[in-house]
Amino acid sequence: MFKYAIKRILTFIPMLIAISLLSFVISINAPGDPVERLSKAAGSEGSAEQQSGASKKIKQELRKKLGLDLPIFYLSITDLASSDTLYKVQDKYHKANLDALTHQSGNWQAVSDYYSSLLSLQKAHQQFNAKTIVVNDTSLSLNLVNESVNQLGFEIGSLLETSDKDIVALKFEKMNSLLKENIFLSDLEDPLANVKQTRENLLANATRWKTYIPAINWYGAINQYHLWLFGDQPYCQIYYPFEWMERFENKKNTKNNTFVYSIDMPIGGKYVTHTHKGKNKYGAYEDRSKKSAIYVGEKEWHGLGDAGNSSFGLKHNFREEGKVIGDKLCDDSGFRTICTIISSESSIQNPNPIKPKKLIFAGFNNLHTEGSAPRYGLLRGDFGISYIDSQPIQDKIWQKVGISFSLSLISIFLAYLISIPIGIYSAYKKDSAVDKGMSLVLFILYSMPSFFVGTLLLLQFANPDNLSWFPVSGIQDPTIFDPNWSLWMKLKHRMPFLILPIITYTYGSFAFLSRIMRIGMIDVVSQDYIRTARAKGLGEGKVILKHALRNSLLPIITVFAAIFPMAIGGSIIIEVIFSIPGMGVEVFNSILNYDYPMIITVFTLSGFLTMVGYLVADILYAVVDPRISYK
Amino acid sequence: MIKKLLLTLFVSAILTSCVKERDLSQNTVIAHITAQPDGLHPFNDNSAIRSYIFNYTQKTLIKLDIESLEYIPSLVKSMPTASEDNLSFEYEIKEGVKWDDGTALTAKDVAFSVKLMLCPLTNNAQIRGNYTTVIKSIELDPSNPMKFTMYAQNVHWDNKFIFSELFIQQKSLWDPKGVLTNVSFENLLSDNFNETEALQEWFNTYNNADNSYKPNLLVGLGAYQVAEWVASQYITIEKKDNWWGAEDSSVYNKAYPDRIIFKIIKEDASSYLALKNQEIDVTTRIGTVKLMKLQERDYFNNNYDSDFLDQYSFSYMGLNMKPDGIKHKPFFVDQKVRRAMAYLIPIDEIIEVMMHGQGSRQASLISPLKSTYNDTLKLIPLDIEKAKELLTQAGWVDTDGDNIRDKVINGVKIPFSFKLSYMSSPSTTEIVLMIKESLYKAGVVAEPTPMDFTLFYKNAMDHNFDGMMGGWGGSASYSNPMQLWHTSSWVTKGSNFCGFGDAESDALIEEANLTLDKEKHNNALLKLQAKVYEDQPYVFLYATKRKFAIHKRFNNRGMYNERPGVMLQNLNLRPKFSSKNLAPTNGQ
Repeated sequence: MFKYAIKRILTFIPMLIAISLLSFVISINAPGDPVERLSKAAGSEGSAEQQSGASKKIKQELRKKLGLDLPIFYLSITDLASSDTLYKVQDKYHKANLDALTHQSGNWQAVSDYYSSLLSLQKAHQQFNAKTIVVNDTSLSLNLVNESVNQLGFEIGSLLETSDKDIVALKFEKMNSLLKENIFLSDLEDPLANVKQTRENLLANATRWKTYIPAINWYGAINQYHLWLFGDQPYCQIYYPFEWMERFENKKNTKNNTFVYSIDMPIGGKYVTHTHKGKNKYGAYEDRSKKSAIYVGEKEWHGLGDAGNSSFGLKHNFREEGKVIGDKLCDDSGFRTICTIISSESSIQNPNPIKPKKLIFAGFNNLHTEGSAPRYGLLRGDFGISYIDSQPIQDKIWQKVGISFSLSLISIFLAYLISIPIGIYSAYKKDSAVDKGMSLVLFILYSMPSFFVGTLLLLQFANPDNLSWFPVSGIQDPTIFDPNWSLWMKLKHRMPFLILPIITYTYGSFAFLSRIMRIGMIDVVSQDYIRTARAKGLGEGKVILKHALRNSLLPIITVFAAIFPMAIGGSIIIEVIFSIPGMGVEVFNSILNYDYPMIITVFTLSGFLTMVGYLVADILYAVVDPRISYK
Repeated sequence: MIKKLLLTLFVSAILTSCVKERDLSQNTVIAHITAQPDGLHPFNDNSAIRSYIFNYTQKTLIKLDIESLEYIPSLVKSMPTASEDNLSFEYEIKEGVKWDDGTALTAKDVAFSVKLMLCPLTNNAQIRGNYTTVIKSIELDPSNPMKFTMYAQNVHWDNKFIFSELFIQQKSLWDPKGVLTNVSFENLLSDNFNETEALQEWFNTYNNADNSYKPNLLVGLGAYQVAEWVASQYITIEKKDNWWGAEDSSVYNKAYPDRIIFKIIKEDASSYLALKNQEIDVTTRIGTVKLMKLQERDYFNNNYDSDFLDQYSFSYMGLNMKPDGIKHKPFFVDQKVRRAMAYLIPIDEIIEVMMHGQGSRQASLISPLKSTYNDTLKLIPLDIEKAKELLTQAGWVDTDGDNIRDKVINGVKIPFSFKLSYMSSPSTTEIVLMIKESLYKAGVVAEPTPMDFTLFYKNAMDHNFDGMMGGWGGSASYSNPMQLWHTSSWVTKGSNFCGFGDAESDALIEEANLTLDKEKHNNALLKLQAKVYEDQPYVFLYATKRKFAIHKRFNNRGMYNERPGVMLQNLNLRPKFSSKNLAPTNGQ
């Protein structure tokens, strides 16, 4: 059994990779640009976003922070015509247009020339100021100049996003006539001629055949998928004694360059020569001289010495340009922390030697680049940050998963508790009036939508017009709830809040579960061994509850597997009606707001939990039915 | 036996758990909100609910008084005086303003807060531009730690009011080592901002999400301190002991309730029941129909004051004045056609049917509640005959008898059938269908084209639409017309979706912005409104009303047009209710 479970868990790995790939693909192809969303979030009326240069820079910053400026995957399978550096284009719509143009012509170089000529035309256009033109040539009307300049700007802007040949031709025509009619735009003639030239070049030098030959571009580990899955932080960070550092430094120079070590120098640090000579604590002779980093404080020097085992008991001298600026007798404490060097000018000993900030042996996967937020990757429980509020996803969902999970657990428990006896009874009294009556009632319940029942219950039991038994919303009363209460007090306090939601959550499954139980039971009751049991003279209760029940539980277990993913999916309707802070609303909001990191997290986790659910179900099969074994 | 036992257990659990009535003698205000804020970071977060809560936990130097709609000094002695060139503004901080640790607020804290707002390393990309375009530097007065001068980039109407939404933070608490002290304003505003490692590290800590959520880190100068934040349920703020402003006479420094709880209820039916059960004291977010229903009940009216009040946001139908002629035909190029649309839209009916009368018609880009509103502009009535006449004048005539007007443009006959885009929602769909029906009476076909927000917004910015249904939020403060109405906002993907404007309107916008003279400013805005009205790029529709309910056990139940519409700090529990012996009732 144990072996079987391990095997099953091992098969999770390829499944999870498949799920992660799938959900990643979904997120990449999501409509809209998250950067646009995050930076435009405040685009309410009246905000003075006048400098488009500034907003571009802000977007660039955001893109870098979210890691969206990287290639998507380790490799891309494209065609010979496509560029392997297209991902570097910032604007999502420009990127799409460049892609389309490349597919039309098959000549990336020509497309790229065309694009850059358009950009320089746009830049030249941005230099234009209608007012100065009018000041220089008073015969012109400001209206006309303004209008033509704006029109031209619009055409350029839309050309950057258009690949349709007819529309592009029309736009060129329009720009030509604008330039012809307005002499003051003559400064733009050269850049426009350049654009036309590159456009013609693009059309003339089409190499469409290239689009039919596949090509693979390799991007390496610094890509969006890798960072999403593994993060960019090293997988092991160990604070190593200084002596070891040297060893790793040597290693760094060898081929195996996955080993990287770094010393963060404290502020104001510099390198000085550091020497020691003589017999150490262990009696061995040491004669070393090397460069060390030290921090120069006001009166004292804190050095990052190489206080390895070998130098215990030796006096370390620190020199700057030949002059001794401090010394320190190295003892055991110097092994892992820093030596505090007392200035020769002052005898005050620093009571709190500062520790080196980061003195690490950083293993595999040290990919972090400056300016981006550190990421730990899905494997280490870092699901990224939410596009809505920049909060880490794991912080956001942790509590909510707990609430949804408890709700579905309680509800499933109740559903089983009630429907199994009903199912048994119905099977036992098959086709009796009681059986039929119960089926009728249960199916009526089953067919009632939960939003309707939920609201009905609220209006009946939480309404001063009828019965004001239960609170309307939430899971605790903010005026009296105390987070320091014992678990029992909390439960007692939350009970009234949870009764109506649990009823709403549960009633629908009665019909379903009791039917399954009934069928299973009927099946089992007609078996020979039951007849034998009866023939032995066993009481009816014993026959049904001892011999038949266990065997008829199998179908019920299958259903049990579904509760795990339910915990993370939650129930939107019930959570909204009763204002319960569960996962349902969270998922719903994230879908409405295109919060893809959240959607993917839920997607991946529910995939994982479904697998766990089925594993648990399989194990339960074996527990319930000894005939089933997984050897 | 087991079954019976379980049944008894279940029933007794239900019975013992029956709800206890809320203790209404507590001096606690429970305010209803429909979603939790995106965070409570003084710089990085950016939601309306955050500003609502910050009214009580944070302070700004000056403030828009929601009663008089004038800016009033809050942490400073008086409104700033401008220098002759209108480029520098002197401020003096009030005496006796103290941080939670007892140290006094000084100009150093202001300079620190402004630096944070301007610094590219702060996570406030969305709003930073509002400040970097205005503030050039802050200079402290070496002789008086309470005095400082703000130097502005340009002469701009906003210069005087720039500090109304900048929440002042304590320098010695956040930056005890003075990492930011020597960072110059010039460096902060330069394109090549010099990021030192120390700065990066400091900002990594400062931008951490903990500073948006952990109650003990959400500190400020306000009378209240965040005590508890239970995700998606409620946020509790508690009155500080020994708060500096306790003796102050300003209404914004009153702090009557001991606690204010912001309770999140999303679903309208639940909010309705919560009001019935007196589970919430204040709401501005209840549905129109629900509030009207509640107002029919005596016990609700006995317990609550309720009202509908106008607000500053408005809805409109935008008409593309400068279509590309390829994808979008020139339907609305002629002003007459646009005016005809205004005559054809049954706005009163929409307000009556969709908003149950709780909306106000809008004639201009500026709300009638503002002093700068041009009240000479008349609402355009529903007049189908007049619209037909205008359409005919513009050359749109039904030549083939199919009841759809058409016109020959560049040799091609085009029927007047345009796409009306909108963000898909049930109520907007209803409104669009009402518009469609009315337009058809004049031989114009509107094709309802629903889409999601991202696409809708992208299309609007690219001028890729015929007609669109949109809305703008607003407040009593000055909203710079630059973004919506300047021609440069048309070409640079700003929010001038329809292509309004010419040199004259641009000049008016610049005049309104680049002056500190109130009369000049107002005149320019009046003229701009008249021009927009005449040109009709938008058919202005309506402003929905804000819905209020405030529990009567408090005095000072003021309701205001300006957001958030209420002053929770000023709700004073009536003595009758504070007596512990009084049993709360449902008023029945």
